[in-house]
Amino acid sequence: MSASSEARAHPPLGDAVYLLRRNPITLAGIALIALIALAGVAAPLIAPASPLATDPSAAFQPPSVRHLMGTDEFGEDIWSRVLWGARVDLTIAFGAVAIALVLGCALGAAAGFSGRWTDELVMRGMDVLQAFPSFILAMGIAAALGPSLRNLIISVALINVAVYARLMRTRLLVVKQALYATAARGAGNPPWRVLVVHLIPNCLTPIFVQSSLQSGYAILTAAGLSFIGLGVRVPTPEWGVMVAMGVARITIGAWWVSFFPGMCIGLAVMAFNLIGDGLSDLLDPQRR
Amino acid sequence: MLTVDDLRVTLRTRQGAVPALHGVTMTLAEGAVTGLVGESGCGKTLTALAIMRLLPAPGEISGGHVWLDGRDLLTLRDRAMDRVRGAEIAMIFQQPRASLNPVFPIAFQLIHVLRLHRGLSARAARAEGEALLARVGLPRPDAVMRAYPHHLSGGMCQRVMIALALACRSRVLVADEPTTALDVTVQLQIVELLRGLQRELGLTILLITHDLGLVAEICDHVNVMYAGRIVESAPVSRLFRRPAHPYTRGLMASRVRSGSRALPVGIPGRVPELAQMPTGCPFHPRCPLVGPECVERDAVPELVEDGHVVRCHRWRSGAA
Repeated sequence: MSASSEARAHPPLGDAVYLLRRNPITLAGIALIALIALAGVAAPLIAPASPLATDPSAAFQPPSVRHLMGTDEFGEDIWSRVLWGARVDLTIAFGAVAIALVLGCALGAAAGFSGRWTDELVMRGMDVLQAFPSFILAMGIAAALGPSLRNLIISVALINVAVYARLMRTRLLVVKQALYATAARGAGNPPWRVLVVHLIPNCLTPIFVQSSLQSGYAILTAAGLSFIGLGVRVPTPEWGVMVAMGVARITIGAWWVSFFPGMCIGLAVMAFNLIGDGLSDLLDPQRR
Repeated sequence: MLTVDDLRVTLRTRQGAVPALHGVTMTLAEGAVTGLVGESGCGKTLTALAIMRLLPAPGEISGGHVWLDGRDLLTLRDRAMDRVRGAEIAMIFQQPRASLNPVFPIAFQLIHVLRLHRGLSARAARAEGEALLARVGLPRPDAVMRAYPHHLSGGMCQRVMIALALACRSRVLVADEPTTALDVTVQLQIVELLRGLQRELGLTILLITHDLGLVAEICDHVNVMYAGRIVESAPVSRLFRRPAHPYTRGLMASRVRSGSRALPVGIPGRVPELAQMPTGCPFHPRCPLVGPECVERDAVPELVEDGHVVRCHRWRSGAA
């Protein structure tokens, strides 16, 4: 096989477009997340009302032209709140995953690369983290830190650190033995540079796939925490809180209060899972 | 210029420390190709990795010196050794594709090395990288720069590895079975490339191989290795004309020769396990000339003639 025909001259972006066309499911996931993100960003422009504007006279209005998704017990416009909620929930998803990813990868890399007591220390720490049912742990951390958006993100992040640390360590133990690692040392790279430049990039594919799945779970966990009152507080337009607010009202027939934010949670989680499906194809040069 | 003196390597196993190299001594003449031949499991690669101080985990250097321009590489600090690797001694491996990082295009790896070792700007490094790829005989260097290792054939990857070694301008190249994993036709091209570069740049090359044909082709001097020892060392023409050690003779007889109807003979038995090293001369269970002294003690290197050293009690009795 000749390289000249294989190594075609196309820009990296062209690659991505081509690959996405082959993975319509991933494309759908990315499109959906992009749409949600756009809704969040554009919320001030497209939301018909302020998400915090109450109007007691218009409580529990069913969906109508005036209130696309109806109103809740305070007469807040649910459509506006859902749009603003996209902001909050995506912040939680990306924030929590980013923190967990960076922390987990750093710990896992340290453990896998240096081995011995560092490895023992880090991994036993991760064992402790994983010994708790993750939601219970998140509840504990959130309760200890107090309910706020920042603390919600931190507690959702902390329960996932171990997942990334393990993935990174396991991958690293494999690629550490690779000949290119020895070759890189042979070319005069000190160990830390071999780790950062050559080894870690070879460990990232499964980690990114995992993080797209985890983004979905992060929204679920955050929604769950908010639902039981340990996440963000009630007036904040967050989908989980909104579901919680509406649950008690389903019995009086006001299904829309919970339904629409709940649907958004479902869509976002599904979208992240769809992305994860094709992400490994996108990231691994050997599978292109 | 590069001298290996009584290099000893031990493998730490569950059965305790097992010696793997029993005092390897050899000299790489400046600007020449020195061969290191022997069967699999003789310790050739171990020798190379020990010289580079890249021995993997159970291996440990337990004695000896590696002199490069008056410095003992084995006593250098780790940081200093990092500056020697690549810049003064480069190494290429048996599996060229596995030696390249699979997630980066060639350009990234080549430019990285050029910027690091030669302090070139990104633009200059790219130009120099393409020039190097052209230098090692790769057509369309610009396309190769953009390719990932899995886009390239084994021979092309080996050329890239050689380009990477040249990129650092090191004068010593350790080539561990550089052609073994390649097609026969490609083998010859790589050998010619190495030979050409050696002549042109005055490279000092340590060529590790089990292929005597390759040795005859490009080496100036040959060291024959058996069970962690250099058993014979001679200029290449001398070694092929008058091999002294019975192991070397066995290797010669194992070759398939064109034009000869004689079947290759081979050496009975196989390389001893490290943990079950025979007493005395490690070759004695397989040796046609074996005598009582061979079982009792290992031989010491003896001078056959200037530049030709053999490590055998009975080399005189069987000389052809």
